[in-house]
Amino acid sequence: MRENASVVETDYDTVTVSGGDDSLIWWMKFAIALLVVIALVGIIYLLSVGILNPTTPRTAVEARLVVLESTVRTNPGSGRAQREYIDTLVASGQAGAAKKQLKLAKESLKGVELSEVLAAEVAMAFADSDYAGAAKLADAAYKSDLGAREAWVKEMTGKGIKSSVVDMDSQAVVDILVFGARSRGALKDWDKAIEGLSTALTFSPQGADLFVLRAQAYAEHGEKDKARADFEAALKFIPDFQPALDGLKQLKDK
Amino acid sequence: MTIDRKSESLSDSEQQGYTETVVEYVDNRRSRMALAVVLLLLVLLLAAVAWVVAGLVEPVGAPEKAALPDGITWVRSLYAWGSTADQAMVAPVDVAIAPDGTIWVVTNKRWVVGFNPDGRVSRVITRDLGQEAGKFVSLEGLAVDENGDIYVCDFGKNAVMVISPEGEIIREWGVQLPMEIDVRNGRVAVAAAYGIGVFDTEGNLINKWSQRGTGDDDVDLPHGVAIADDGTVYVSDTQNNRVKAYSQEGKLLWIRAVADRADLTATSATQTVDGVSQSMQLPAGMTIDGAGRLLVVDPFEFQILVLDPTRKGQVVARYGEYGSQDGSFGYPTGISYDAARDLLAVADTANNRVQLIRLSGTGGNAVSRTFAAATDRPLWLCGIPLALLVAAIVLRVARRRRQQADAAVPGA
Repeated sequence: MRENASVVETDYDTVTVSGGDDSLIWWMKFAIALLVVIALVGIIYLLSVGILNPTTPRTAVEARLVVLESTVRTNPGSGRAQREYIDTLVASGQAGAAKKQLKLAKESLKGVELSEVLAAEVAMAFADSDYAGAAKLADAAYKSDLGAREAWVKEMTGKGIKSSVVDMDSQAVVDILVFGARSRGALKDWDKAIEGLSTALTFSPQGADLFVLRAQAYAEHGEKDKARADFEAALKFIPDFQPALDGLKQLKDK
Repeated sequence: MTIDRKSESLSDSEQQGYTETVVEYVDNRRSRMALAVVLLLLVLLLAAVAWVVAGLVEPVGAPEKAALPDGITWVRSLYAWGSTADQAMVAPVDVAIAPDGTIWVVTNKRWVVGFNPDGRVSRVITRDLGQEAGKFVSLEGLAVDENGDIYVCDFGKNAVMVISPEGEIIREWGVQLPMEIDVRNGRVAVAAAYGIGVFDTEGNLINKWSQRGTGDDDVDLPHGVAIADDGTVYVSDTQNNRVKAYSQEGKLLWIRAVADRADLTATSATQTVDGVSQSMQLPAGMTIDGAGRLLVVDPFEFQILVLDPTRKGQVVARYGEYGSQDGSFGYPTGISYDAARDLLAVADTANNRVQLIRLSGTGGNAVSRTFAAATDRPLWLCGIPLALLVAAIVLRVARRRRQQADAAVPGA
């Protein structure tokens, strides 16, 4: 067998055959065998440590996810459980799984339960610094939430019960409006930000943090008196609320 | 390839030789191409599998090293023995590691759950509620002997129960309000609410001392006990905020206590010795590490205190801080040390989990850890493909040598 014959000479001419080395083929075969062995060792190792079997949670986050996954499975109609699960997936760096769950939840939830996952969607867009997208999602989510509330009021009225859209649980819609306002703030659209926070305050009129947020928006917009009034309003609900005290100090320093 | 020739001018034999060379070259080139493609595909496949496996191996939300309290290496946490809500740990009170590495946990008052060091559940033991033999009421401390048998204090039943690793109850004997237990060299030390008892493994009383109170010889709800190799019995005298050492015969050797118990023969807890705070609030579960140091969990300090028995229990190091994130503690009450794996298991009670951690200076080493990790699992199976590869190489080399030898023989 030719072992190292890259050049073959005849009496008449030269036939050049470059790279015709058998040892190269041998080494390639060896490398393949080695990789196959590595793969086999890896597979045996993984099977022996049970990595492919279902395991119990290893971290606080995994434990939380197991509980939330179980809650969502047993109570898929709970928007709050869905939202908490999505939020935890996002916090644990599983954005892909979070988006998948969000899609499933959006398909299955209705009314104010849907608002919970829409709030999670707005928060995700905000966290991704997609402020324009977050603002747009917030507008759509608020519209959807308001529609559900109005339908509920109509239903209650039909039963002879006097109701208002603010009588329902409002945490999700407040979150939607806050993230929408913060997105608008990031886009320097202070008018819209203030409008959103004012709407949020109709759902949560004692929200000290909402007053502080709106005060900050007023301050950015150059409306110092309104800003001061909102900081002071926040302090009525939480007397030593540090963000409000800091805000007032900053206004004074300006 | 460059083939520069005048093949039409070759003789028949030269033409045949030339043709064979070219055919051989073309075959080789095809082989090389095919092998290169296979090689590339294998590399890509392995890389993809490695990427997927890396995602499975890395726990979601594992704490960053920099975020862990000083000196603590977090290995993993155990939260549940199944995937349903009723299989989650609730207030695990104590933990003990068997010689084979099984981590036994007393949780939810009536459950004794065994985990492999890698976190997989190995056995779940529970019994119906009742005062009758073989039933559980309210389990507290546990320990494991050299044979792997589990000794459990049933506080509500006033009994110590011995359970086989398979879950069968071997024997039980009466002890009033037993809280903590340790087993070593055929002796069983039980810290009960009203005193300390030492038994043989059959439950025959060898010695007992102390009664409930605040005096030097008294104890008050001791929630930790450990037997050293030399027979010394260490006790966490929990409600008296102190740790004590007794000889085998029950003679008090030393007391390490907090400042407001200054009437005892103890060092002030507020004192700092060699730069380490001696503060101690409610010493609870305890264990002895590979370096002979006494490790005590203090639920109100949210820490593991390392006491040096050769210096009358001086606190020489302390690890941990309050928190619910992995690596921090929420009122820990139990601790156990596995010398073979240099692993500490901590019953992190208020966080409803057991944490597996490592601390520096515990006397373990990487060699014993690696050996234990390899023998814990059937990793020897990995040697089969490696042996096959070596055999293939040996055969190949032998064949080539034989071919070379044949070629060297004239006329061969």
